This record gives sequence, structure tokens and C-alpha cells, in this order.
Amino acid sequence: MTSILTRYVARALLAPVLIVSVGILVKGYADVGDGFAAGVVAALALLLQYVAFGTDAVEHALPIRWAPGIAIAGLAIAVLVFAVPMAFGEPPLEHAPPAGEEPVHLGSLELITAVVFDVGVFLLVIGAVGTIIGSLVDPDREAP
Amino acid sequence: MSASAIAAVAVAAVAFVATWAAWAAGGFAVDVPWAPAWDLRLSLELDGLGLLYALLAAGVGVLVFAYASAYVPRHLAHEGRPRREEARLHGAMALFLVSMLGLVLARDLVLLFVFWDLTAIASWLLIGFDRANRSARLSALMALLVTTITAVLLLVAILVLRAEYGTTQIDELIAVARPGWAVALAGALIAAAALAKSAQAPLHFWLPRAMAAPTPVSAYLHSAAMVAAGVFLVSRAHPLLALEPALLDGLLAIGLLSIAVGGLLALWATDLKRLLAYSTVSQYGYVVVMLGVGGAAGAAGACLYVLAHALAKSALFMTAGAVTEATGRRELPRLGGLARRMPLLAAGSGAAVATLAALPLTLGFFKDELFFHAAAERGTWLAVAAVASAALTLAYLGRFWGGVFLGRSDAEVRPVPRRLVWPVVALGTLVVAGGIAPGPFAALAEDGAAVTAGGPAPVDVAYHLDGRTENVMALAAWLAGALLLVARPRLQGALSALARAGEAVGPERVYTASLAGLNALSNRIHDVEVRDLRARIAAVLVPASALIALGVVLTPTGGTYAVGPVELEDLPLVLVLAVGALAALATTRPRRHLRLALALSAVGFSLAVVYALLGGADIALVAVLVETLFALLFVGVFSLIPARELRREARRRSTGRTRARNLVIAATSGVVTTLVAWGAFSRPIPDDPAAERYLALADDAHGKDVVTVILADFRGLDTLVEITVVLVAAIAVATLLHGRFRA
Amino acid sequence: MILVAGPLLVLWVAGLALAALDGRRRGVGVLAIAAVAVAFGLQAVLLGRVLADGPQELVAGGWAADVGIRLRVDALGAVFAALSSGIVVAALLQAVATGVRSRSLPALVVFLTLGLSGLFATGDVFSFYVFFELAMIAAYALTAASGTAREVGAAFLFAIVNLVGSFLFLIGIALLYRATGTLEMVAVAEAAGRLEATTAILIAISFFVAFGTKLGLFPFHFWLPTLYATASPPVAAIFAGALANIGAYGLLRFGGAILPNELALSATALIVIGSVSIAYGAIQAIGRRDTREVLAYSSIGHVGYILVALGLGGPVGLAAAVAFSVANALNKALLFLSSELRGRLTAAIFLVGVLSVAGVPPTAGFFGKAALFDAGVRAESWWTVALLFVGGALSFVYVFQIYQHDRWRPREQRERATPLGSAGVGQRLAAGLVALVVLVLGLWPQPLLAAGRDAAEAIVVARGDG
Repeated sequence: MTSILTRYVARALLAPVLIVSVGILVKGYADVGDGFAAGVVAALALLLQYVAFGTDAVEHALPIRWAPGIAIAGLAIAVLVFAVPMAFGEPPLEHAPPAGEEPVHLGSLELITAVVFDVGVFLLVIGAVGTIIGSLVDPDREAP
Repeated sequence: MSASAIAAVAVAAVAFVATWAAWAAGGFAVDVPWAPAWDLRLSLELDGLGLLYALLAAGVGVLVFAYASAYVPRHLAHEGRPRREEARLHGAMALFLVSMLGLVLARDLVLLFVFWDLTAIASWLLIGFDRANRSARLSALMALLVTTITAVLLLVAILVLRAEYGTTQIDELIAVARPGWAVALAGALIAAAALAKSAQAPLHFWLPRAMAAPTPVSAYLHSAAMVAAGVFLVSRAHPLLALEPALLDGLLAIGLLSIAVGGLLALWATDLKRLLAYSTVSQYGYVVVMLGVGGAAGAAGACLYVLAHALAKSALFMTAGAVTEATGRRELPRLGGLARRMPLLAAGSGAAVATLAALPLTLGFFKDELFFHAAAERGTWLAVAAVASAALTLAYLGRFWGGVFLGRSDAEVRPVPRRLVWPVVALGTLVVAGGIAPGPFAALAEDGAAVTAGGPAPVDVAYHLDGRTENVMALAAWLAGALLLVARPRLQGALSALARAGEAVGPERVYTASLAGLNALSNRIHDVEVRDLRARIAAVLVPASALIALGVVLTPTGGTYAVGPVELEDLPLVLVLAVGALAALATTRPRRHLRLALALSAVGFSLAVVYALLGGADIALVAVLVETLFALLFVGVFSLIPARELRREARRRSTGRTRARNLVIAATSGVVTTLVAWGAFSRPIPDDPAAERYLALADDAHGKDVVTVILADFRGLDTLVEITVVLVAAIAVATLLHGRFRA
Repeated sequence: MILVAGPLLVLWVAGLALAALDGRRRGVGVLAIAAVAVAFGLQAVLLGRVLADGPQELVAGGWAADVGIRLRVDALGAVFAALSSGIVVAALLQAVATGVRSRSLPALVVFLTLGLSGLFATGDVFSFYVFFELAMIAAYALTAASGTAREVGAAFLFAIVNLVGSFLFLIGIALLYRATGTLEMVAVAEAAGRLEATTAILIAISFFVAFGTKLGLFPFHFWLPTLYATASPPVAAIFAGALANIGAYGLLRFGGAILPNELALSATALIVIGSVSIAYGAIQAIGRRDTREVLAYSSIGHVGYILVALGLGGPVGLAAAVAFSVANALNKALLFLSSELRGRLTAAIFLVGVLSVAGVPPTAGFFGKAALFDAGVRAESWWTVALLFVGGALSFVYVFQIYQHDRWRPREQRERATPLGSAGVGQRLAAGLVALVVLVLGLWPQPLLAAGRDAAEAIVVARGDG
């Protein structure tokens, strides 16, 4: 079992790290970082929980079972960004709003398709790493 | 008769009637584009030569297929096999017939080649009909390999002609071809393929083996299909071959060799079918000799010879089958006296033997007349050789017929179905009719010979009771043949010695030894690969390094490897790189897995710092995060493996030799990679227009951090694929460890 | 546009859906077949369009071609895309008919097809790499998913060796980008002509090793025999018939179109390496008595022919390389799909494959072989013709030897009992469809020969000297 300090740090860090990761995602278009980096940061937080608390506790507290679903959802979002313009006769991955048009702002978050794409990347990375961690810590569970 | 047998006979009968009708109606021609990319055409046309061979394939087909319908069920019953296997044989026989018809009608050489190989496939399926029998399998493989491998020569010849003259149409080629290397090469290749197919020495050995096939197959293969295809091709391509007289001389030599080898071995053999097989080698030798003589006389002789031989040889094989069916025996010394018990068969096969031995009042008489005529025209030496050949033929055929039907033996004779006898009788009647009224046969041969000779080639058939050369030669041949037959028992020793010598060093031995040698070589190499090479990364690294080193050595390296200036402000960069290099070196040392993982991440982290120092903040961030993640994952994986396993693995020391070898391989790969990188970095960075465009366009994409814009927009497709890779990796890990990936 | 991006979109959506579903259920398998079949249909139409109207292209994101990623399908890419997807359809059909045991197999196969379709469609060097990686990782996952220790061992060797190959490929791309300053294939080809010899040859060699490894060329083939012999027949068919096309296409694209000078420089080396591969594969195959092992080694030998055709070069050599690759992919897929099936009809189907591999008409393989000989004859390279002849002779020996060994000996003499009784309809249908294609192309070779000719033309045009 890990030390009390580890567990304390892990618990204390979880929320801030996740917020930081969302921050990296949101700020990605203006500053260093992007959806991928954000996803990895979040995944690291998850990994830390495993290291600190062990499998059972984490799976109780966090929706780790959903990791594959999150990954698939993330990729689905990115594929949508690829596909939707094609429905309007534009090339795949065509960005909206078009160049020169000012996008809608929500605080520092600009509502453009590339951000949606990055959200997809973010979710995918969390989901995929979560899946891998989930398989590593308990490989024999529910083997068919 | 089973349905499949009826179908096969019907196919042959329809083909026969249709060919006849088409010819009577003035011919038949199809010509449509096939593969315009290569200017290939589906062109089929019935001419005199095609007519002769088509009628033979279909006509002999009707009789042989009818014979097979009675023979094969008995054959299967003897072997305890189900009767339905019969269909396979009839099907392959029909394929054989159809591919022969296609072959003789085809006017596009590529199309002709298709049918050429189809006949080989059909004969392979037929020779290997008794698959349970190992010798049948080996014989089938031998026939197939000899005929299809040599067929490739024909393909090359066709392509040589196409490259030179731009067409694959036979008639166009004949019209435009001129003597030269292309025609000489193509002609030699065509002749080689054709002679192998016609079982001419030294590639004759597959044919006696092919008697492993059921008897009807042999009867067909030896007379109107397969072996006939070879001489047909030479006849068809003769105008091309004739452009190079040396090719014709080659034909002459090989034909004479085959007559001698086949004839002597036929005189030696005691197995009925084997004797007949050697006789085929010898008889097609006649045809090849006449094609080698060429001209109108040669062409006329060749065509009539093929016709008479096909009728007679199929009859003799069917005789052999009927005899074996009746007595259960196939060796000459154990047979005899069947003339009284099977008179019809004796008469029919007697006519066939007489025609092959060129006795008067048979169609065969005229074939030898033409043969003698052509030979005498060429020169005295060939005339002498021709007489000797004819004498040899008479001797072994006399021995065959006499051995089976005359004398006496203790063999018990069972009755055989009528369908095993009447085809022989029909063929015997036909050749005798041809001896009495040769007109229609001569006309048929004449039309064929005209194609080969490229002009009129009269087939002059009549009995002349005078002292002309051909008659003298024939008399001499009969006399010498009779003497040879009488003297044969005394020659047995010499003949056996010849056969043994052939077995010891002959082409068949070469074939079997090569096949065995190849298999042995293969096993040896395979052992080496499995023992020493598989499962070694070095097996890839070493040749890759060698290739790169070769590339470096072979190209001018002047100015390729430059050392740039190092300034004081680069010091942090140099230090970090040094740390990275040390960490990389360190990964080669530790045996403990944990330390190995840590050393690896040290390399990664120092590279991340390098990115940061060079201004790639985004990349540095991702590198740091990914390195952290991987370090943790490594540790996590190690914690899953039992500690005992890890320790055992860590203690496993490589021995001195493998250690040294690994060191050399690793060092070489490292040096070569360094050379590659050094060479690349020695060049000035070309201006990167893309980078400027990215910066300029970032605004259009509403982004300020251009790296993110590149990843999510400009090159978003790459990112989309890469995250798909991540998902697939997750699926892979989950599947491997968990047996499932469940959303 | 819909023809270029449509197949990718269909496969992406289907892959996502399948990842969430249990692939062992028949309905899910059918969905995967339908998705790949739709992609194949689109690619077949695209092929027709490309042959009629020339290359089809679009740039992702609607950017200019030097900023965005350009998808550009020319005759070469269209041929390989339709070929590979078609083979995957047949293999997947057989896998589903046999019964899928691994939950993720359909999803992985669809992602593999996506990777292939993408790399044949892209006109961008780096995007080629990422699609390549997608196809490869799906392939690693496919082999790892199957289970037994021997199979996992083979999969591991496969993954490690090919990762080394991919790494070299990546280095080559990095070098190329640094040297030319662009990733867009047409621009790269233009700039590559001005490269100095050493740099260009190093790039060429790293690509060669990467694709050689992918193709299973001697001496980079050591991962191949065990993998092909242990994978299930449909998976082996996908590997030999679809995945290995990356190697042939890569050599043609990068060697023929992007680095033609280096290709010409190394013509002798290519012919030598190709010859060694031909001889090695054929001789190894002769002694094997397991059908699939023979097929594995025969694949090693046959990629040697592609190399020899490349070495002969010129429009005829390149056309021969394409025609042979297409025929070879079909042959291998057909043979793997029918290798474990028993019964009368399947014996005939297998025989079609055997004839085609040996290059005996009326099969596609015959015209593939004839195209090779034609290239040798036209180049008046008689050594090459002799080599093709000897190689062909050896392949006659091993294919017919193994055919007789496997199909003609009485049942009691065979080492192992046949795993499947008489094959099911779906299994036979899958192999039968490929056999039909092989036969049709043998009887009507125009599509094969024209595709080879047009693809070679596309390569020459891409060089800018055509």
C-alpha cells in the first residue's frame, strides 16, 4: 500500500490536474498545448489515482468502465468534424466558420470546428489510456 | 454407360461433325479483339492443318471415349474405388479434346499458348487419375513439369516475336518475319517446347512414365492429343522455322536421335504399354525428321504420317488395354496365343501394326513411301537412316503383335465387353480402307501440308509396281526388319545394357536427381533459417546496415559530412544532448528492467529539453507528458510480471560469442544511423515555404498557436488517423491482456 | 469528392461502430462485410473514373495543396485500393462464415482496410506514413488477438521487425522533408530530382528497407513464414493479399514516381536482390510439406519478381510490376482462403489458385508472368529472362508438388486430419469469388493489362518526364 502522503497528494491533485488539462485544451488555440497534451495530462491524473489507491477504490470512484466508450466517442466526434462538411458538398475537415468571419467566443473559448476536433482528440486520449491502464491493472478480470 | 461418358462421347461426336461441316461449308473463322492493351485477338480459323488435327482429336476421341466408358468402370472396380470417380476422367478427357481443338484453331499465338498449357493440365489430371498410387502421382508430376516448364520457352518465343514485329497473329508474323536473330531465337524456343511436348529425345522420358494413366488416356494422349500437339506446333510455325535452315537441321538431328532411342528401347521393353510408349517416341521422330527435311515433300510426309500413326497407335493402346483386361497380364513373355481366343481384336490390331510397319494395303504404306521419298531427296545418308528406322519399327511392332497373338501361353482369358474391342476393329478397318482407297486421306493430308509448306504440297499416293527408289527402300526395310526380329533374342544383352545406361545417366536420372537434390537443399536451408535466423532482429538490422553502408560507399561523399560551428550559446543544448547520449548508452548496460525503463525515459526527457531549447514548446510539452506516461506504464507492466520471472530474465547472461556478436551488430547499426543523420544535417536547411504559409494562414483558421492549428486543422487528417491508431492500440492491448475490448 | 473521401468515411464510421460491438455476433460480422463492400464498391467506381478522366483529388480542409493534405488518387493508387479492399471483403466473408472467435476482429479488419485505403489515396508523404501505421497496428493487433503461444510469438516477431522497418521509413521521410522542404508528393518528386546523390540514395535505401520488410523480401522476411503459417486462413489472406500490397505500392510510388533517378541507379542492385529473393523463396518452398508454409515462402519468392520488374524499369517494366502485383495478391488471397477447405468444388477452386501462381493459363497469374517476361524481352535483358525462367520452373515444382501432396494422397497418408469437414457455403463463396476473378482475368486479360499500363503511365507522369 502506498504511503499516506502519496494518497493525500493524489487526491488533492486530481481536481486541479483535470482543470489544468481542460485549460490546456481550451487555451490550445492561443497558447502552448492541444487536445492531445490535455488528454495525456488527464490520463496521468488517472494513473496517479491507480498508483495511490489501487484498483478497487478507483473503479468505485471514477467511471473507468466507460473508458472504451469515451475513446470511441472521442474518435466519433473527430470523424464527425471530418464528415459533416461533406454533407454540405465541401471537402472533409472544412473548417467553420470560414476564414475572415469572426467565431463566437465563450470567454477565451472560440467556437470553431477545430476546437470540437480537439475535444474529440482529448476524449480519445483519456479513453484509450484509461482502457490500457484498466487492462494492465487487472488483466484476468472477466476473461471470456 | 454413365451420363458423364455419354456426354464425353457426344462432345467428341459433335466436334467431329461440326468440324467436318464447317470445312465443307468453306471454313470457319472468328476474329474479335481480346486484350487491346496487348493487341491480342481471339482469332480462330479452320484451315487444312487445323482440320487434320481437329478431325483426329475428335474422331479418335469418339472411339477412345467409347472405349473408356467400358474400361474405366472396370478399372475402378479392380481398385475398389467408387464408380462416380469416372466422371472426373471423362471430364478431363473432354477438356483435353476441347483444348486440342482450340490449339489447332488458334491463330493468335498467345491464345494458342493458352490451349497449349491446357492440354498439359488435362494430361496431368489424367495421368494422375489413380491418385492413391504413388507412381501415378510421380509420373503425372514429371509429365507436367517437363511439358509446362518447356512451354514457358514457347511463351518467351511469342514475346520475342511480339517485341520484334509487334503482333502475335501467326499469319501476320509469317508474312513479315525475315531471317535474323529474333526469328532464330524464337524458332529455337518454339522447337524446344514442341519437341518436349512430342516426347523427343532427350526429353522423351516423361512419356513412358505417362503410361501410369488408365489405358484410354494413353491411347488418346499418344495419338491425337498432347504428343500430337508438339508436331502440330512445329507444322504450324514451320514457315518461320524454315527461315533459319540451321533450325531445320536441328529438327532432323533430334528426330533421328528419337527414332533410334525410342526404337531400340521399344525393341527391349517387355511391358506392353511401355513398348508402345517408346514406339511413340520413335514414330514422332519420323515426323520431326520430315519436318526437318522440310519443303513440300517433308510437309506432305509429316501430315500423312501423323494421320496414319494416330489411327494405328490409339488402336494398339486399346488393344493392350483389352488384352490386360482379359488376361490380367501386361508383360510380353507371359502372353501369347490370343489370336484364337480374341480373333476380332487380333485382326484389328494386326491392321494397325501393319499400317505402322508400312505394309502394303494399309494407309501406312504410303506414309513410309513419302518418308522414303523425302529422305532420299535430302541425301543418301538420310535414305540409309530411313531404311534402318523402318526396319527397327517393323521389328518391334512384329514382336508386339506376335508376342501377344501368336505362340501360346497359360494365360486364362476372361471375356471382355464388346466396347473394348470394336473401337480397335473400327480403326483397323479404317487403315485398311485407307490402304485400298487412299484418296480422301491423301486429300486431308494435302490440305494440311499446304499450310506447313506455305504452298502446294502434293500427297502422291498410289501403288507403283516398279523399281523406283521408294520401293527398293521399302523392300530393304522389310527384309532388314524381319532379320532384326529373328535376331532379337541375341541382341537382348546389348539392348538391356543400353536401357541400364539410360537409367544410370540418362535424362530421367537427371530429372529425378535434380528434384531430390532441390528438396534436400531446401531442407538444409530451412534448418539454417529456423535455427539461426528467425527471431533475430539482427537478421533485419545487418542487411539494412549493409545496404546503407553500400549506398554511402558507392556515392560521392565529398562535402556531404560537414561539421558546423559550435558557439557558446549552444552550450546548454550540447550539455543536454550529452546527457541524452549518455542515457542512450546506459540503456545498453542494465539487466534490471526497472533501470532499463528509467534509462529509456531519461533519453526521452533529454530530447524533450532539446525541443524546448530549440523553441518547440508544444512538442516539448507533449514529449514530457508522453515520456511520463510511458515510464509509468513500463513500471506498471513490470509490476504485472512475477518478480521471479524478471530476476531470471535479468540473470540470463549471454555467452562471450553472442555478446561480441551483439556488440558488433549494435555498433554497426548505430554507426550507420549516425552516418545517415549526419549526412542529412550537413545540408543547409532549404527554405520551407510551407512553414511560412502555415504562419500566414493561421489567422484564417482562427488560431494563434500555429502548432495546434497545424495539428487540428491544416493537417487534421493526420491527427485523425493518429488518434485512430491510438484507439486501435487500446483495442489491441485490451484484446491481448483482457481478451476483450468492451465499450 | 465523394468517391475519394467516401471510402474512408464509410470505413471510419463502420470501424467506430464495430469497436463498440461484439464482433463474434454474426450480425456484427455482416455489418463489417457490408462496410468494406461499400468502400470497395466506391473504390471500384473511382477506379473506373480515374481510368477514364485521370487522377481525382481533393484537399482536406479546403486549403491549398501546400498547406492542407491532398488526397490524390491516380491509376496506381486506384488499382491497389480496389484490389486490397476487394480481397478484404472476401477474407472477411470467410472469417464471418467460419465463425469469428475474437471480439475485435471485425473492427480491426475494418481499421486495417481504412489504413490501406488511405495510404493508396493520399498524395502526401507524411499522411502516407500515418495511414501506413494505422494499417500496421491493426495488423499487429489482428495477429495478437488470435491466441496460442506460437501465434503470439509469431505476432511479436512480426511487430518488432516491422516496427524497425517503420522506423527506418520515418527516418527516410524526415530526411526527405528536410532535403526537399515539402511533403506533397508531386512537389517532393520535383525537388527530389535536384538532390545530391548521397542524400537521395540514403533516402531511397531507407524506403527500400521499409517496404522490403513489409513485402517480406529476402533478407527482411524472417517474420513472415511462421506468421503466414499460423494465422487463420482469412487473416493470412488479408496479410498476403492486401497488407503486402503496401510494399509493392510503396516501391512503385516512392521508387518509381518520387525517386526515379535512384531507382535507375540501383537497377542492378534491385535485380540482384530480387533474384536472390526469387531463388531463396522458391528453394525454401520446394522442401516444405505444409501448404501454408509453401505459400509463405512462395510469397517471398514472388516479391522478388516485383523487384526485378522495377529494376527493368521503363513503362513496360513498371506495367509488369503492377500487373504482376495485382495477380500475385489475388493468387495469394485465393490460395490462403482455399488452403484449409475440403470438398470437390473447393479442390477446383484451390487448383485455380495453384495454376495462377504457377502462371498457367487461363488465369490472371499467367498474364502477370507474361508481363514480366515481356518486360525482360523488351529490355533485351536475357539474364533476367533466364532468371524468370528458372524461377518459374522452381515455382512449378513447388506448387504442383504441394498440390499433389495435399490433395492427391489418400486420406490415411496425410499427417493431420482435415480441420474442417466439407466447407460451408460462405467459406466456399469467399474463395470462389476470388477464384472467379482470377479466372475471368485469365480469360479476359484486358482489365489487368490495361490497369498495369495506365498505372505505369501515372507513375511516369508523376515523375514529370512523361
